[in-house]
Amino acid sequence: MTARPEAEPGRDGAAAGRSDEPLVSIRGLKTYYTDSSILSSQPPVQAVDGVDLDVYEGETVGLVGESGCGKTTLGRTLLGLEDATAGTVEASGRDVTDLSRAERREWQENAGMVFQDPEESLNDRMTVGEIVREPLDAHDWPTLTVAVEGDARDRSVEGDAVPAGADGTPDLTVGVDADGSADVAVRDRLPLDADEVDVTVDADAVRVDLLVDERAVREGRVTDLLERVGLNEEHFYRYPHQFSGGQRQRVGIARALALEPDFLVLDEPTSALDVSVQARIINLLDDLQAELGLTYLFITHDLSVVRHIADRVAVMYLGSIVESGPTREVYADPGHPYTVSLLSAIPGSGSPWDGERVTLRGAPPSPRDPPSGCPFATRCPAKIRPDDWSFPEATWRALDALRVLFRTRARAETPTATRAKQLLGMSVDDESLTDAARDVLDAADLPPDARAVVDDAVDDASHGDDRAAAARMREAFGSRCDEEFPAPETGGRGRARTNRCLRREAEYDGARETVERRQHETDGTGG
Amino acid sequence: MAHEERTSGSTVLPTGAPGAVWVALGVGLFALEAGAFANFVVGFLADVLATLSAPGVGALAAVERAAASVPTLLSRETIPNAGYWNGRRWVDTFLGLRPGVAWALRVALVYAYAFAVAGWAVLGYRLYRREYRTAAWTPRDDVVDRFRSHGWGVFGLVVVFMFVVMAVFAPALGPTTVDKNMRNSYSNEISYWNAETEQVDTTLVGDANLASQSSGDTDRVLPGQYDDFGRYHPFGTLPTGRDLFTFLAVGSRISLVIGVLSVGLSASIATSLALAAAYYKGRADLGMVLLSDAIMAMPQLLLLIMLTTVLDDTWIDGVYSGGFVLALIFAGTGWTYMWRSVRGPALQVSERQWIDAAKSFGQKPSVVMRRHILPYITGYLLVYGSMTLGGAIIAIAGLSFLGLGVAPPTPEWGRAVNLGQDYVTTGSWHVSLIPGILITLVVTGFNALGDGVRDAIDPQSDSASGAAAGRGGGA
Repeated sequence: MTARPEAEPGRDGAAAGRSDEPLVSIRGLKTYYTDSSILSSQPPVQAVDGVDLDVYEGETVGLVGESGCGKTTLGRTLLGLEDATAGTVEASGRDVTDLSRAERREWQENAGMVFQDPEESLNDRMTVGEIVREPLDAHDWPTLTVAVEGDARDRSVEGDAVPAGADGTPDLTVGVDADGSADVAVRDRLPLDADEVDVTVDADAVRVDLLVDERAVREGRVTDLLERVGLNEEHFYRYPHQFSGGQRQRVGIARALALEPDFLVLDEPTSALDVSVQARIINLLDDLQAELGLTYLFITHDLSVVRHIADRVAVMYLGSIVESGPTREVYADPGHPYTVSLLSAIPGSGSPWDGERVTLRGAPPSPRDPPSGCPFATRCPAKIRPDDWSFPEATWRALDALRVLFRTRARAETPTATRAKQLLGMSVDDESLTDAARDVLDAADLPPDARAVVDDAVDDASHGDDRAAAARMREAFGSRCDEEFPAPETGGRGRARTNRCLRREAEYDGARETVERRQHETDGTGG
Repeated sequence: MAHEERTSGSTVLPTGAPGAVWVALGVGLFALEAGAFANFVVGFLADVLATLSAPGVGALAAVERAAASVPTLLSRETIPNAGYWNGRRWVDTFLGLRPGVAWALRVALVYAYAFAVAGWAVLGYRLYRREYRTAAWTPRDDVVDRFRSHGWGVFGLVVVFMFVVMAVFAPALGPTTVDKNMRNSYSNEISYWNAETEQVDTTLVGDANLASQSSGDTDRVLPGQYDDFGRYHPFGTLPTGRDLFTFLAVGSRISLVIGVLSVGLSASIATSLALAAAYYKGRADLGMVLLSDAIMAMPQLLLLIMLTTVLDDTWIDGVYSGGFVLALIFAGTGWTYMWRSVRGPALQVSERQWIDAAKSFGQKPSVVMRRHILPYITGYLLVYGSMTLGGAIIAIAGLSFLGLGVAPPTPEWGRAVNLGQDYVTTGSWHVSLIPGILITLVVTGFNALGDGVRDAIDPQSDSASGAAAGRGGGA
């Protein structure tokens, strides 16, 4: 999949020692979706549920996880497309989740987004030129910034320009000689010649007049952008219909780059493309990053792409980042059982996992009703077992499956007929329940006290009280994993590795060893 | 590249400078009717100034006279059809032709002129598309091409076009004028050949009308006949003896104006609300649903009757013979249906990712609505607009038939049907039948146009021609 032969995890020294201040710093970010309907009051969807992450200038952070884990919502929240429920996203000294409309537009000028599906993200009633030019029009680009060099006078700026701020390169640098004549230099990336602006400098003012049409400057910029992403000028007047998926995605990238942002959120930019095209787009993104010094948050579910492009990786599960760290380290030695299972699923020799593929049981829990404790506990192949019981692995799995069943049933809408039966105290058991219970009871000889718990729980569930059944099971067979979800070691600060699995503690075996051991155990017992 | 093609000769016009030729053609066509246009503009300004009672009316009157003196090809002055037989030949008609022939010539010229202008516009579009537009292809090209091959839609377009031409050129099309024949019939005199005394006599138009009534089996002037005063009636006469064709031509104007005004108003209300609902969703959308449901729940006809009674004799009722009030009422009650129709597509489009993309770089809500949602719903607006326009024409006619709506002296199609309904079973069958057929034809035309536009926009819905093509292939 990767075009470069050296498919080593992570890129050497790409991130090391570039900057110590994070460009974007996410703390305790939560994004919940509430149904705004008056009539129904469902619990909110907790799409992003407490995320801490730092993104440093010039690096690529890969955000991976299965569909529905909230990674896209996280990216959208950063750009202000969703409102954050709690937490902060700090960028250049301000919290971008809490900005006025004008400030938010300013932030959106500095951050761009490339969307997943290039069929969907381009308005096909507009030409490619119009599409790429739209951000420029929206922000009235260019707002020429002027810096005066040569003497220390404070000058006001008049005409078509504003004074340059403290950070960033000014668009125009005016050098003042001793005799008062001005010498104008235009920033490299601006499609403007020095003789296209008229600059007059006097003792206390600089006057800048744009001699060319603003539209011409913008079209020059669009042409530059199209060339930069591998298209050319003649594509300006074509419509998205006339392009292939890869070319459309190039247009999407050009649009995201139009306002010269520092930070790009790439939301699965290659997952809708052919494999051969994917590599080319990845390489383009890589080149652009090197040329323009961009910072990427690369959202994907494709771990082999992440290994190729990301300096650091953050693994997300059900709204939380469960593990993060430098890509190479995480791939070489995954610390969280979820990461282990993801890595084991990379096909072919690319997988750093040499054992059998770790298949997770069941579907992820609903983000409306995440489990207490560790969100991954319901499916975890390395879940810590309580000391009170000692069952074979197959029995634990059957017990876990039964608990998942109770939780799922508790969440499901109850049909009216069933509810009526419940009220009358009649049995509402159905096949899935009795089957699952039989599985547990058949799996091994449960000691009588454990058997009693299971029988009671099944009895609760068959009378419709699945919640009580789940609670009963949890009380008897639950472990630390059902109660605790440890915070990241560093609070999400910095580039160091974090792992939110309790198995990081010295008293437990590591996740990877545990998964391997349990795989062998179940193989041995024929499970 | 485009420049080279331009200089090496055009495929549309065989000349080196097709644009210049096209402009010259346009100027030529305009010159033929420049006087009428100047008349219209000056007259319109004078009306506006008069209603606002602003100064300058006097100065405008001079300009009006000057404008009236500009010769126009397609006026009743240039090709007159009103004349009399003096025993040997026709006097005062165009080239001494029979009045019917002179009238037919003028009508033919008017329609030839209108189709020439339409052809000129089509030529301009093709010229622009092939020679001057930078983009070689746009999505709209496909829509236009699909519409061109849609027979039913083209039929609708032609009918609608002819109806619009009738409305625009109404004063020039009628064999006589509303003022002479209806409003001030007793202030106008005509000469005619008195067969009994064998000499040219004069009489008042009103008296002539009384003698040319169509009110039964014997007293009638059928379509295409001359009355006793040498006047030609292409559609026959009304039971009052007035000319039916003049009545209908002028009546088409009021139908069109009320229809376009009401549909335009409801389309703009519906569009802005649908865009806002699609963009903001949630509460805003719910509020609009409730509002439109409330308006839909009101009985439109009763509301109309109530409002026409309440507003009777107010200044607003006087504007355009009450047509303005009608348009407002139609728009106020009709936008809900159109809003309902475009809200769905607008909501659908608002879920597309390019909306998010626009939001992600901080595009303003108004621009997102206009640039990223509106183009996708204009097709629906055209379809529902043209169909609603047909509905409005029926509604106006229906109201006049009931004796409501447009105030009596102003010609209106529905009233013509009403006036003739007592004579439907008699020899004066034409009084109700002809306006009835015209209403049906025009409304069918608008619906056909809507169908064609819909199929052109959305090829998937084009089941009819697809099936026909399939049959053709099988045979």
